[in-house]
Amino acid sequence: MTQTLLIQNLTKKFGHFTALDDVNLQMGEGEVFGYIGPNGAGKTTTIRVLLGILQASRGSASVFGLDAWKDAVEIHKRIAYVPGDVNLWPNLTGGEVIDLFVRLRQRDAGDSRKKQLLDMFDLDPSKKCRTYSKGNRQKVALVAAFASDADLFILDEPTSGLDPLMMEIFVEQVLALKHSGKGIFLSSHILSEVERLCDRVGIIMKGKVLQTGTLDQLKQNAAAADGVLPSTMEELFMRYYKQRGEEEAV
Amino acid sequence: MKGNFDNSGSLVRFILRRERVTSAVWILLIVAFSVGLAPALGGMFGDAESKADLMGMLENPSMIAMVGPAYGLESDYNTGALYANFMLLWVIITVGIMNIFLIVRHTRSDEEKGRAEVVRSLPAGRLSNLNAAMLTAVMVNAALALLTGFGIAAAGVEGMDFTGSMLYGVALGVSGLFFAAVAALFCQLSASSRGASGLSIVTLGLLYMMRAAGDMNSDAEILSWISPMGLIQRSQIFVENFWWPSLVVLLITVFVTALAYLLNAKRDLGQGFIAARPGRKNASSLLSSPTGLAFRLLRNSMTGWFIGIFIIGAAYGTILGTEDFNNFVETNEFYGQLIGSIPGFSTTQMFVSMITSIGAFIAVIPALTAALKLRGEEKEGRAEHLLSRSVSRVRYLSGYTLIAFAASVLMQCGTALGIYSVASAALADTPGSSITLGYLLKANLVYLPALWVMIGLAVLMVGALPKAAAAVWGYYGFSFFLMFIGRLPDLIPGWLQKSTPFAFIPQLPIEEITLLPLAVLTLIAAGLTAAGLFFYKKRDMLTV
Repeated sequence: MTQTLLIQNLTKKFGHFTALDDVNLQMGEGEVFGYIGPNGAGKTTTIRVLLGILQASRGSASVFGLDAWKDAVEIHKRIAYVPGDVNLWPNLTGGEVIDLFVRLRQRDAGDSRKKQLLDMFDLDPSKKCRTYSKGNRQKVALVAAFASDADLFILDEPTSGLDPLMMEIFVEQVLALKHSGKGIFLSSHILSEVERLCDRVGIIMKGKVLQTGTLDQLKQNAAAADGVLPSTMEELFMRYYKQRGEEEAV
Repeated sequence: MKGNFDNSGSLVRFILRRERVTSAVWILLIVAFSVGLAPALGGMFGDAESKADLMGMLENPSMIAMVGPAYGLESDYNTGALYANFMLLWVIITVGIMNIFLIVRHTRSDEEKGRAEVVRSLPAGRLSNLNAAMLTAVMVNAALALLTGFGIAAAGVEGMDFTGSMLYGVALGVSGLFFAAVAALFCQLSASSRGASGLSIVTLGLLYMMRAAGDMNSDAEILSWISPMGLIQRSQIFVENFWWPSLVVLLITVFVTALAYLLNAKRDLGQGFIAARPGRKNASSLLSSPTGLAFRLLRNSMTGWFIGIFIIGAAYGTILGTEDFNNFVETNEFYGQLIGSIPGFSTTQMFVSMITSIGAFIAVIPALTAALKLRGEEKEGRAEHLLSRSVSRVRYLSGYTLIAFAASVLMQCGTALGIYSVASAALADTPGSSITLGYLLKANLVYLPALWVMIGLAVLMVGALPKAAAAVWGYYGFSFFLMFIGRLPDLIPGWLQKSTPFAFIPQLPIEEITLLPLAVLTLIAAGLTAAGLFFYKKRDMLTV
């Protein structure tokens, strides 16, 4: 099976600060991969390396078997990305930005699909971006991503500004993509969302990937370590978080 | 409504704390400029003949349109009258813009960014923020009025007495406050800070043009009386010293302020009375490439710069070629030296050479703005929207670079067209004049290689040292200093004078166009741009 995404021994340094420390990840075709970790753990940095916006200090990152840095443009033809902090042009309207984003990938703006998504997310495209709230800016990025015909969707905390209703619509959209065999790389804080959507999960803390595997595998690993089987994702995450803190203290 | 103005006092202190640098710099620059030029203008009077030429020039309709009517010509015309005639309107425009920005910054901008909401949630009144901003404007303008008044009086120039000096200061302060009130009103009407400052500045421009129309045509002089800018000019400072125009403008200001308060009390936070037009639901076909986006983002500011540069060219053009101007420069020692004279060249030609070098330095600003926008977009985290799609770094960078290069050409043509638009008629009458549109274009376009080197440098900085890219502005300031101080011989060593690309541009008509330095500069510009691209491709995108 070809790997949609392969990260090997990836280290990224900013001056003396090590943002990513020897990270290894892989993601198979049509898989939904959840990437979880606390703020500042290195989730966004990993994504930026995958997008070729940052260059790896050591190790390698590839998408569709192509080098993330060298073949960035070729890779980007087949991916859609939603950033965590969506900053848009204050004097363009949401509709204009969506069109621009879609057109940069494919010639046809896919008007009916766009309209359908705008209705679903209840977004007014005629407003200037400066008037949008954080949630609405996120919707602009989500509509542009979902309207595009990509093979891999990289979503960085895409629902952090959305209300519960919109989150539900987001989950439905991701499930639809999953059923049509698209790959999804989802970084998130919303653990229930990850639990519902993801086939496999990676946990990153302070630049290091601690565990990767299916949810069941992770739970079993935790049970093997201290004899208690975590019932939810939350519990599992908190356990790693505390463990990490104790290690730091020692 | 109870307690509408609660806590205004603490908010004034808060605004002053935030303003301590910005407003202080504005005030100091305006005062230094106003006081510093008082003795310098005295030098414009040479002998009686030169004075007569100068007075003739001031009666020229295009001159009146620019600076307003000259007073005191029939009696003993002195430096004071000349100073007020030349300076008042232009300094009012500057003070007006200062006030518009001050008010918008502390009312609509804060509201837009959500900061006003925090203040309103505290025990502060509904009108406290606007009231505090207006009170701050009163203090700022009072400081400006007093410093200017006492400063000019202290300069002790003949013909500029204490009363006139103080009236000049007060006229500035009152006009400034008027534009603060205008801005306060538009901050209630428009729901965005851009809209509010835009509408206020358009109003300023309209009031200026209104008085120009009134001043030029005696049948329509009422227009000048209605426009506060025209009214304040009728104070006849240093001639008759009328105080009542300042009083009338102050009354209008109080009225406009009251209207702004009334509207502010009626409206919801974050809303404006002019309904926001719904924008486009779909993008035009322009917005389908990174270059199209860059063009769209820069279109308005580039258009603004082009119009501004055209007007500056036209402003200089108004005095070009008038007979009085030629006589004046030829007989006045001070100006003769400043502009320079070389046998075989007319004064007009020498003057054109000076204008084109100033025009070129202004044109660098939009060109650099376009090139540095690349870094601004990266810093704001918006570059990654494009770079995470199928847009290569080369394609992304070249969009902004192309626009910067195109802007340089366009702006240089703007200066030439501006001068030509006004001066063509006058120049046609000047016998033996070699100043044609073709000549003006050539004299301006010859600066392009120097502009390109500046753009190339900006691209290199964005590519290689993105965090220090703004340092290009420092080099720009340095070049400006060298070119204008450098005109005074023996002050700066030759090698240092040659450390700016502008030093290698032949100044028409004094110098011949030689292709070699221009070709070398163009090659350097191309090299810098290519190097910038090379580094840009290799580096991380930084949002800091």
